[in-house]
Amino acid sequence: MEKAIRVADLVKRFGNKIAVNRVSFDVKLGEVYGILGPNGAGKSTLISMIAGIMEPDEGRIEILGENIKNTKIRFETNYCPQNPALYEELTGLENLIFYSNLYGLTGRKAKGKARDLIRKVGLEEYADKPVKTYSGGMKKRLNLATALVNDPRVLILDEPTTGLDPNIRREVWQLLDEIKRSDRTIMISTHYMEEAEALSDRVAIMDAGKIIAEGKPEDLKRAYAPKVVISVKLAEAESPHKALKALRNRLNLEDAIANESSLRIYAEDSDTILSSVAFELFKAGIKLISIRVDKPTLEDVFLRLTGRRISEN
Amino acid sequence: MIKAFVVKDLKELSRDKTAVFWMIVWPLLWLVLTAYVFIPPENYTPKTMKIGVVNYDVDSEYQLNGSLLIDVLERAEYEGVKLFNVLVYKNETLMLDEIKREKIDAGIIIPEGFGENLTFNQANLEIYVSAMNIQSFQINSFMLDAFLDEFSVKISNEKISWMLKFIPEDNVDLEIIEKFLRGIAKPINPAFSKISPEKLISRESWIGWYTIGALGMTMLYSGLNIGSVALMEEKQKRCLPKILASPITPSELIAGKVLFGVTALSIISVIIVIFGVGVCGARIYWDPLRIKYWIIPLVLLILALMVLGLGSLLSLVTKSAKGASNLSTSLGLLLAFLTGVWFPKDWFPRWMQILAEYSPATWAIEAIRKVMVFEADLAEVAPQILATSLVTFVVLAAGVIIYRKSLKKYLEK
Repeated sequence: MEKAIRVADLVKRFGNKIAVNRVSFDVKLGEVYGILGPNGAGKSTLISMIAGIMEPDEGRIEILGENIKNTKIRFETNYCPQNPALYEELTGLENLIFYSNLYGLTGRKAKGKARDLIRKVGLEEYADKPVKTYSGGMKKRLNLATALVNDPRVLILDEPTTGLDPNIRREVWQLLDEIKRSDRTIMISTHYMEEAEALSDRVAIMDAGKIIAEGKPEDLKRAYAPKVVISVKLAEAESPHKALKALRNRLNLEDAIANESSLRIYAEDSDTILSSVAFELFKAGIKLISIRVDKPTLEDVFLRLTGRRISEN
Repeated sequence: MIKAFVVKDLKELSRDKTAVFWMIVWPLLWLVLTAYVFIPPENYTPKTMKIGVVNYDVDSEYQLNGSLLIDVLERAEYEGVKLFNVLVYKNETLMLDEIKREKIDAGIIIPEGFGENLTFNQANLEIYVSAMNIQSFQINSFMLDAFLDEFSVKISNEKISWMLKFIPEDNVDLEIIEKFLRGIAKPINPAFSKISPEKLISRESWIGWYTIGALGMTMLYSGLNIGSVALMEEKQKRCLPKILASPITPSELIAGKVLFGVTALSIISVIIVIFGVGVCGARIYWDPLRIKYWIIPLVLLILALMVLGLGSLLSLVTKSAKGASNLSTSLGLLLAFLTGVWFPKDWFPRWMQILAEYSPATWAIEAIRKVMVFEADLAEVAPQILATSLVTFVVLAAGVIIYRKSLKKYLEK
């Protein structure tokens, strides 16, 4: 089966820092492939190289069997950057026509495509207004539309919802869901676990320039997360690290992570440990707001994986 | 794909009010100022001097007297225009005050006994000329001096005719004596003829000269501006990564930017020339049937490419589009004013003339002026065009290298 994206031994250095360190993976045709990782993990650098914006120091990138250096293959791909790449003085329609022109569409074809896309992203009413009058959400939607001007077979999205408020993020997710149903190959980088889980068929978890885990979200959870997660929300004044220390002294907790004001404790079975956690925290005089049993998410996979790596370092 | 940049950038430019002001309105304003303030139509009619007179010779019994002088002053004309606007004052204090307050250009005091002296002796006149600046002093003095010379000759001739009546005709040749005496009255009788030069320098031609200057000035600062911000603006608008991810190659991107610059400058040039001719009354020669005039668009293209290339060099020393824009506008205006593009270089001190002589933009503008204002032949401007082309080739090559390096650096980051 032809691979949509093939990345082999990719390396990118900035001075002494290795931003992408021998990364290899394949993306199948029609698949949605998520790159998940914190800020500075190397996601945007990796995406920029795959989009053909940045040249790798080592390694090879193939899109639909062609080397990315062959600019002809770019007629089959498109890229949506994290920050809207829009011309504020131009109207939404003019922006779409300009980007259509870059992909060889001219005249009526470009106008027709632009009108079609602006309708699809729900901006028909604002089509002839300058982009500078658009809200943040409208700009994000238009930005996504610009990545569809050439009906790309491979769509590369760099953190499409970063910095958006939850309502707008949901709007963009709806759009992405529609795009996903059009059988395109999509590569999406994000630092929102929820986004990666909801949209991706397969996810690569990236940290410090390397892919540390890759697979279907369910497989990753099965492989790296325990069956249950006990989520403990502490009172404002309590220190989660102090609570974790108290629990570790009394219970045999291998996997537990302290967040800003909560604890996440990983276990195979919630029955015995739930009451013990509550009891030990009470005994240590630590006040709780809530304690509940959750199903593990990709966030748990990521936290466990990166937590371990950090402790190893 | 290259056309996409031209269309997009032109749309953006047309919606940027500041850019439209600097690129189109500003040079047109200069042209209007030039046509109606610096070279006003009345500057090309003979000058009328305002002159004050105090006449202390009012009771003269002689035919030749102070009143006659005032009368001749009032009637003196040059090409149908009065040479002097005469105002009579009661005393010299009043008149001198008026000169000091720049109400009149000069004042004449006709002393008592002027008529008697004019008839039998040599008459004196006291003349005061405003010396507001050396040029006005020079012009006013010369005008009065020339008038009084002519008046003196006429008086002398009157006196000679009168005197000849008293010379007995016996034993003398009156004709020889008369010629001799008239020779004493005016030893040299110069004959002045007015010849209009083939080239220039009517008011319309001057405005034509300045129209080409406005074109050069705009080319300089707008071209430098466009060249310096071309890629920087795409970076600042965060659109460059998306453009680089498209099928467009870096060479096509650069070509698109250069073509936009050339198109914008061409549109501006056409507007300036049409405005100069249509509104300001510039005289510019253009005959589509003669090949020498078709060299003009070529020279403009060469000039446009040169300033765009120079602009890209400026982008090396600035960090933002705004900084590049400010630097290029200031530098462009400065060059336009200092290198003979806007003002004639003959007005400048020697060191500035040298600067103008080595400015390729000035070569191009002078070549255009020679053809369009002075109707010069192609052979006359060929050396300037060739020199400008050579410099343009070097500058443009450097500009393209800089653009490519800048893109490569951006890709590596």
